Amino acid sequence: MLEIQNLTVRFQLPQGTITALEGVNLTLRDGEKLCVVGESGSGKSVLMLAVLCLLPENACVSGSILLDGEDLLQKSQKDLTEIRGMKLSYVPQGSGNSLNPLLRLGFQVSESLVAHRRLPRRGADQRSIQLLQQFHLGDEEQLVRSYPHTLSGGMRQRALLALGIAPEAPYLVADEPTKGLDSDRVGLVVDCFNSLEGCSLLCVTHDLTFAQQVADRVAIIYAGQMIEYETAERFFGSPRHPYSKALLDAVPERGLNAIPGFSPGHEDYTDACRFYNRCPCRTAQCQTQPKDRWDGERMVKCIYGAP
Amino acid sequence: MALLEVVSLRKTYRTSMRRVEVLTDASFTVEAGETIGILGPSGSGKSTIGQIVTGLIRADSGTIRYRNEELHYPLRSYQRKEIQILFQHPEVSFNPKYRLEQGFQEICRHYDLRMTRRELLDYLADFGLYREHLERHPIQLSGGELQRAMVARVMLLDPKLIVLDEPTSMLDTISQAQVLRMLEALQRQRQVSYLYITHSRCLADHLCQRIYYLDGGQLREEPFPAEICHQSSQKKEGRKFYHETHHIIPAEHGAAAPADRLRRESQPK
Repeated sequence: MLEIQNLTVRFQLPQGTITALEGVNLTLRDGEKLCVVGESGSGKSVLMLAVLCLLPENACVSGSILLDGEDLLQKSQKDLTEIRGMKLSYVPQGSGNSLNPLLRLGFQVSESLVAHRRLPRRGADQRSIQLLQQFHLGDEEQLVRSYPHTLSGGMRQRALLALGIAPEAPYLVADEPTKGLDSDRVGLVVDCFNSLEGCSLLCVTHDLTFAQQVADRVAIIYAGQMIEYETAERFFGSPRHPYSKALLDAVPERGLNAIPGFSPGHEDYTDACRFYNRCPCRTAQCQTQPKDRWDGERMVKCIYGAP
Repeated sequence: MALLEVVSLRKTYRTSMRRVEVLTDASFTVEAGETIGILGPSGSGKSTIGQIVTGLIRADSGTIRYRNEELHYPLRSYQRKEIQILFQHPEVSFNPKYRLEQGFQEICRHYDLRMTRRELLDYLADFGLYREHLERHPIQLSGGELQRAMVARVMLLDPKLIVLDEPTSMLDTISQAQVLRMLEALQRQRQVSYLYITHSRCLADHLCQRIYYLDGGQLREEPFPAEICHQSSQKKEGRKFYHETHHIIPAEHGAAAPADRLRRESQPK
């Protein structure tokens, strides 16, 4: 079980301190699939990097992240190196520089098998071809000998997924695994995640259609705060926070309706609810930050959506 | 007369290892003020069409007429200004070393547009961009902000045809809806045509009056409206008109360019 308790992340910058994430509490049970949804800049990637203990040095992290009862924030670098890969595996974002441009694709996929699963080189190569075949990249025997730049963005993204699931770690952390993929390819990712038996998934995404197909639970992050934490079934049926409603209304299949306004910058944070300026149901009470309202394992940070 | 007529486009990418025939016989038209969609799976050559139309790469053969005049490569004068493109990755569309304001000044300099800072700020307010954004570098802005800035920069040139090459596939859901609705509003104001390249049938249904599907290097027009996810019906009247006026002119064989001369311009995808 992965428990995140009161996690706050601040960054020390020359201009001052920025609070990227504030008081996040959530639990990922064994075998559960949790999607963290938020706009770019909301802090969802910071949450993911905090779990992996890969935040840059100027980050100041408080709270605790318990992986099977052990606090990752108290671990030494040596222990963390052991945990990453063996227990906690990572699927990075594919559009950028996540693959080494100087190494052949096959080497990079099999590297994690050799390092974490102690497979012999040849066995690892065979296994990596099988993993790539799972994502229908086409001509996989040839592909493992090619370099990342010869692959399209979608192919690189799928290769990174193969790389992430290769060590078969019990916890998988994925960063926008469907970014830039077309709907057929998104289907492959959905199948892949749904076939991971017993593996707990923490997936950061802004693709709500994808989240609906994969997630057991959904956490919505807005301007550095978790504002709703809900089972997927309830969230996609009747979301409670006004921002969650707006999110679902913006989905193309649900009408492509854009709410006006933009999420506040870090310098614009006030005492009011962070969604105050855009909220269609704001009242005078919203001038002060609402509390997290927990109801068993569900949470909403809004006076309006409370049960 | 169509704004853009593309007839029998053909394009093959060649590397030392392999040849990939992406377009074999692609033809379509775009009328003034309409949005047409090009759908197809990844790697089917959708972006290639967009890049040929904007003059970034050349086709092996085929003709493209813009306002009844053939496109000359590299594009110059009014063609270069009026045909613009919006790319998938807004984060690399700006010079990373420039503050956003310098990115806009660069365009003003190249196209001899005179604009004071005040005018620029007023103009950008419609796109949800303010003084604070202008002072930042691209890396300090979100994808949605950058793509809105990109739309604003393209619109400065008062284009007549914009190729939208998956402009929202890197954006979050709300930014996607905002950018697409913004593009629709701009189309109503300015009568600009869009060539919308996407892999999402649902998004194409929302935006486009006609949809082509790219399959095996050829474009085929898709029946409309799709039953899949379309909710608004007021657009359908408009579509009928475009169906009646839509026509494709047969290929001109004489216009084919020798393939070997173009070979060095081919690049791997």
